Amino acid sequence: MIEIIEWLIISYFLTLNSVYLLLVVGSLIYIRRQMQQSDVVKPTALFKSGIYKTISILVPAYNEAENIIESIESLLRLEYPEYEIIVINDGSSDDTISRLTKHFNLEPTELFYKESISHEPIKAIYTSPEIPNFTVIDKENGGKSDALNAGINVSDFDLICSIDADSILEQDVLKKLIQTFVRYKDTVAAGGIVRVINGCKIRNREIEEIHVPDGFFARLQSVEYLRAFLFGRVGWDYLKSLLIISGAFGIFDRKAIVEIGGYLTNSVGEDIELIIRLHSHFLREKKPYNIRFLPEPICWTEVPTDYKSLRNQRNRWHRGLADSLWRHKYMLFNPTYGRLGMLVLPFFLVFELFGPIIILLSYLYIGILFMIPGYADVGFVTLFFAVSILYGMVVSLISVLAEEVAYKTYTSTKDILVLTAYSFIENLGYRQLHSIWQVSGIVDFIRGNTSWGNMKREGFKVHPESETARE
Amino acid sequence: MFGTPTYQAVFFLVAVLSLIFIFLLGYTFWTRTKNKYWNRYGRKFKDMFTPLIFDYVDSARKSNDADAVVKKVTRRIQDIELFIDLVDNMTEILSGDDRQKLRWLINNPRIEHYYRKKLNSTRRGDQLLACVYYAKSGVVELKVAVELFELCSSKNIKVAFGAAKALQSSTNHEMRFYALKDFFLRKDATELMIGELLHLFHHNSNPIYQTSDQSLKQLLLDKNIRKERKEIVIKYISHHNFYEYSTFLHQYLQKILYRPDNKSLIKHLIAAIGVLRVEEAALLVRNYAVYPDPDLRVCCVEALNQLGGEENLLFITTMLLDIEFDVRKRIIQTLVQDPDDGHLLLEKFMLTHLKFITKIWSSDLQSHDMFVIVNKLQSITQGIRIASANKKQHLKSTRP
Repeated sequence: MIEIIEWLIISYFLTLNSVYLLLVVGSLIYIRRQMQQSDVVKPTALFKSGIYKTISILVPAYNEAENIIESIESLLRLEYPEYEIIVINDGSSDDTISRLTKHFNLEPTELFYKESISHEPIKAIYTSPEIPNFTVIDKENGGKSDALNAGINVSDFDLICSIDADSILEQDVLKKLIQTFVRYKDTVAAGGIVRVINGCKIRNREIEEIHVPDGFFARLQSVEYLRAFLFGRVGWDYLKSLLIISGAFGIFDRKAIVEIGGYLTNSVGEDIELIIRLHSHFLREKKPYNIRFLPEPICWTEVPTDYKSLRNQRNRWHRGLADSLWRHKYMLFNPTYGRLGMLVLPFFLVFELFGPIIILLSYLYIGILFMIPGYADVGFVTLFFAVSILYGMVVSLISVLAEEVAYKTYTSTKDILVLTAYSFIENLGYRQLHSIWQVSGIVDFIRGNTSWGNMKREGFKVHPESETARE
Repeated sequence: MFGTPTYQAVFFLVAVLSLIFIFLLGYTFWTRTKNKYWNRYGRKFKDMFTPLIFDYVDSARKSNDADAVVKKVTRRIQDIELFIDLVDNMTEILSGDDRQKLRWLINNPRIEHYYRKKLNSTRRGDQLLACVYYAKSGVVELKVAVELFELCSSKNIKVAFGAAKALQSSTNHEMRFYALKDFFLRKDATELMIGELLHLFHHNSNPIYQTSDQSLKQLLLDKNIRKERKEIVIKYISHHNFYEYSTFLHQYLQKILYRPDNKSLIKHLIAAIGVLRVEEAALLVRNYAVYPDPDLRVCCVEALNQLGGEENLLFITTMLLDIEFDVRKRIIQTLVQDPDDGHLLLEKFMLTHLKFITKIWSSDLQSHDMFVIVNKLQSITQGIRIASANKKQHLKSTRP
């Protein structure tokens, strides 16, 4: 019996890390191929031949007074021929709305729209006489999803792009992402690489120099973002099984979102839930569709730097995953949903959702073995640490290497050395701690906790002397 | 249970980890140092050749004068690439005769000979380099064109696209059209590629505009070309306001039968007819405006609005009670924005229907259907009020 348990533990870690390794290596090959393609095809052709689509950028804002003006100013500078910005003030208790009104000379107005998706009541709508493509909706508090639903109703364009008010977008982000919609017909959603902004030098809300952050947790997250959010997602995209498009940035076909009823307001993992629901809807209806991931850095976001905020964030993410899988449990092992139901969702269930439980139980098992004299098998323990920690280090290190081969995003060699060091450190304590946060997320989900938790943010305020994002 | 194989596995993982670590460090240092070196070299190259080229531009009288400058460029791939890039960048800031002199540099036999060899190479990278060169320099010789046509049928889409792009720089219209058409027929071509190639084809054919006009028609009439690609051609025509296609687009729409697989093509045609104001197609558009597809109806409303005229506006007004909100919204916007009779038509519509409702309300004929109509009318009234207020506000803010 003991032997079976031990082999199961070893097999589990071996499978988990092997899948990640395959995803990273596969995505590297895919990215290289994509980049070669982009050398030849010029995206400007889209605009010369008029085959682009119009985009509404939805910016839900809750107590974003510190960042909102800079954020909108930056969005107004995006390179795209036809887009509009809709800010949805989600009942902020700070002066977000008054700052917006004052800065952009907003005037109250009314818009004729259909409430296709229900949301909390709108108090007022403002437009700017000087900036025709800018609208502000002031509504009662209802959460991020509710705010996005209000924005979707008001939007009149082909695509909607949801972004976090505290994210910075590359100037040509829309030009890059629209290619996905043109290239793959029937694309209903597309996301791109979200990277860590902490540590980068910013001027006029544009990234001037890219560096790894200074903080311990932020550096760990930089490696994590590379492994899981960059190469992991590219790999899933390669297998046409993408389940997550980051809430920080994503573009969606407006009609498709309205068709499935918009964002769920009572889910803490609204991003993953929406994508699973899109898959579910189109697979059930047998309609052709595409959900794609563009392997190019397009969005920069601030990551939590303190222990408590990070813990809360990861707890919420895991609750979101649990919630989404629970809501769509009918898809699991259901052949109607093809590869997604038979392979991807079960993988997420076993390795992503229950993974932390198995990891912690494995460590607990080893602890117990050491406590009972004569039971500890040095061979098993050594192999366990090899397949869990050493193999984990191999995967993290290959992710850093893949980043260097594919993008060379970081400005200096020192940054790569720091990332290399942290790809070792990450496996010695942080991943185990992360598992504890995730397990507490599952417990909170069972208890019915749907709060977002507190997250301390420093904002993009730049010091006059050094224009480095504060951490 | 876990014996020697365990330690072998551990040893293997440690070895892999160490190897990756060493490779990562080596790769990072090597590639970054190499990049730094080439950046420095590029700057030096630019510093050396920029004044030389400017002097050449000032003094050159005939194409042979380019020889002296070109001879200074070594036969290294990097140098030739840097030289071409530099000349290319200077082309953007110079004009007229000076630009022609820069072309002499790019078309110089020494450089052309170098790229001809690359074109004949079996290596994909070399072939692509040659394609990029000929796209810039122009395809003059028939031999080169033949080579490029061969590459056009390459299984590698990237090479094929590069060759098709290069052929668009030829002055021979037929050659360019065949390259374009061949590419349109490829299954693996993306819409992005099609759009770019179409633009190059048309953009470069300004002097031979009439013949190119016929070519786009040929593309639309070719049964072997996929409908999505024809839609790109139609969008391109309307995006660039090619009015000379007006009659053709009308006739084309007349020929197409309404079938599910033709819906999108029809929508594109109607949209183009609106943009190009093909008034003679109004009746046909009005016919399509009553079809069940709501997107098609919205498209027709927009086209009829662009076509203008009392008859079309009156027709749009009769559609105000459409079942789809989007259609109603578009009609209200159209009529409110209309500077002539739009508001009168709306007023008339509202008065007629309000009278009707009052009658129904006072009678015993109230039913669920009536409630639906009343709600719809309320929504329309609200829409008109909002659209009118916004128009007023807009006028106020734009007034000097």
